[in-house]
Amino acid sequence: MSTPTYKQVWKENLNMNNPVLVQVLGICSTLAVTNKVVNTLIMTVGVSLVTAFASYTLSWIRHLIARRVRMIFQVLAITFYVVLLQLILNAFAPEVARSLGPYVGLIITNCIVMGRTETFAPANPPLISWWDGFTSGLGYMLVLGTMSLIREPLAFGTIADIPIFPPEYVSSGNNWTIAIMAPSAFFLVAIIIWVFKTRALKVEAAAKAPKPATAGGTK
Amino acid sequence: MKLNKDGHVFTILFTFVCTVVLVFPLTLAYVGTKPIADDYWRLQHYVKTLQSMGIPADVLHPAEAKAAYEKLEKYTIGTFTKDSAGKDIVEYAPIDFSGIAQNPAKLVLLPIKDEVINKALQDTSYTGNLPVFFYVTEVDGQKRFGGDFTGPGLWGNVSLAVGVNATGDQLTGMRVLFNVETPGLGGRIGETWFTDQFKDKKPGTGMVFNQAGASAENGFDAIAGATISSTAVKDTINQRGLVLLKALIAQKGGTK
Amino acid sequence: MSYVDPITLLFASIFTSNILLANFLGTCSFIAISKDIGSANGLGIAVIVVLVLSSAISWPILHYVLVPFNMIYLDLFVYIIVVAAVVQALEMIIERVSPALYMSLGIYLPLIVANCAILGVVLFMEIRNYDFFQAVIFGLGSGIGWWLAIVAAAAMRKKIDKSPVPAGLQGPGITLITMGFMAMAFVGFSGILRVQ
Repeated sequence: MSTPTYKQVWKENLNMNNPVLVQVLGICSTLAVTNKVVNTLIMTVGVSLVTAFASYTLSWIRHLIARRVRMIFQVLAITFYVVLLQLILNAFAPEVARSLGPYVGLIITNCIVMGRTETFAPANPPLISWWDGFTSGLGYMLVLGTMSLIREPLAFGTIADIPIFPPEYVSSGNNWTIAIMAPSAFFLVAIIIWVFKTRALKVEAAAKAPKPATAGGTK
Repeated sequence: MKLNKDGHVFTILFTFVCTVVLVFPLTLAYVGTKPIADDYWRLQHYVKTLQSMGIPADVLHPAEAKAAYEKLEKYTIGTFTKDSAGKDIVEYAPIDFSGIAQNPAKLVLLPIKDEVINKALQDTSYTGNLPVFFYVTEVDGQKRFGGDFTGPGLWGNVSLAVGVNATGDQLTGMRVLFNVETPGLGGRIGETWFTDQFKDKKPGTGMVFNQAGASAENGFDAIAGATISSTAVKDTINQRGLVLLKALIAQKGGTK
Repeated sequence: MSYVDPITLLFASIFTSNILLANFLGTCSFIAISKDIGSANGLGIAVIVVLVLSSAISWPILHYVLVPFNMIYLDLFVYIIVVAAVVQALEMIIERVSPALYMSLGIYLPLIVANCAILGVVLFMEIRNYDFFQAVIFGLGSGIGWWLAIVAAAAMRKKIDKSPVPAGLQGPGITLITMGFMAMAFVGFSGILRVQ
């Protein structure tokens, strides 16, 4: 298998093979942290960096480690970077760290990190693995950022804590409490997946023309 | 001895070595960053305590906040004892809230220095299980009383800084020192629009939720969708804060 | 010490703050497995067992090792190893004791290590400062909640499979919408909950 180019990796991870939308990975934290833009931003940057550096490390030592213990090392390396991230957040963004609560720690079991370090890193050189991890994180950021930009205004009337609706929106009790709570996140991510997939199906159909398009094909 | 690379012994040994190697740099990072985090939360505590007592302070002026905080008289409930190194430490006593409510003389105050509070803040930084601390000061010739009180929320402790005027019939402010309530719902008790409601309220027999559209002298607006967290704040103020503050005023109140 | 009483905690962790529907933990394996009731049930039960054991084992380690030695920052290392070890041990025990059970349950066990519900519950236990009893109750409640959600969702997906769903929404999309409605229903339970 030949090493993919940086551009290919970028395109794959942000668009055609977006980890959240296509592979439906990393959904857990996708939903939990997206009711505030600032939290989402910090969380997604964290995931990008952890994925990038964990991929780099795993790829760097890929020839040195016996198959049997690779999984263990993978988990330990990811944990290492997550703990590091947590310490940095505690020191330099304490409020965010507290409001993210356990979700920073849960990056360990974020399937995106697991997936990239399991599939891409062991087969490719370190630098491109770093890039792959990082762009996967960016693809994740794209989706989460969109969600938080919808949820926060509806819920709190603000974007990144800057009011964009008049204060009466919240004080009158007309704000969408549901946008703070869990269900809205499920609906929103489903709608984003829907839009994205419909577009992808159209592209596919156009590519296959003049053959008749096969609707509803994906499993 | 040759290790079997597929055996359990190798796996366990490998895990162990990896953990040790990885833990070392983390320990360094922890030692390096811990003081920064501690400073942050200590400053938050100073500022929130002062604000709850109606004394202006903000995080942008840490030195002023620290100086103002140091001027407060401080008390806790407990006794001094020696730790293994022979240093004085405070052993915090359990608090009999109903007993104190009936007989304020049951409150036994222990005067303390800032170090005691700083140590408690450091020790409880992740649990918010703060001991009770009282503050007494004087503003414009009138006494002010304040305290840190911890009660049960939906998911864990809710710690509040509550301040009252000389007679204890009016709140000078309230701030949330610690909470782990649901982010975006109950967690909003920490936001200033919520805590600012308590300023200048007259609790009378206790704080209550405002009825829709109305605003009582002792009422505040609960957070929609977070009844339990709002109740936790109410109960902590009524059943712990006001009870203990009343007893504090009975002992330390009056004019000099 | 936190003051939430056990019954409220159990109820809250099963219904009002369902680990899956309110805290979004374990969604990945949820979407992958909820296609079929049998496997959903198997995985759900495995999650309950692992959750109870992991919280019961992590609690003493947290309070008798990490806290006294001031090593809280290493909690993630400890928890991930505990979870992995519990899963491994359970797999070995079930395999030896009951091969029949192993056939039905064993295959789901390895999936659990990567299930964020387990690590999430253990971390919540730490952050919310539960005592030992509360920690176990919370683990049990969360496990039951997860099991309930996945079995209910699997049953619903069976119906959905026969319905005309827009092409772009098929698969994960419609599952997430179903989960959204379930989450709304579960939020409705919060009206029942009273603390003292």
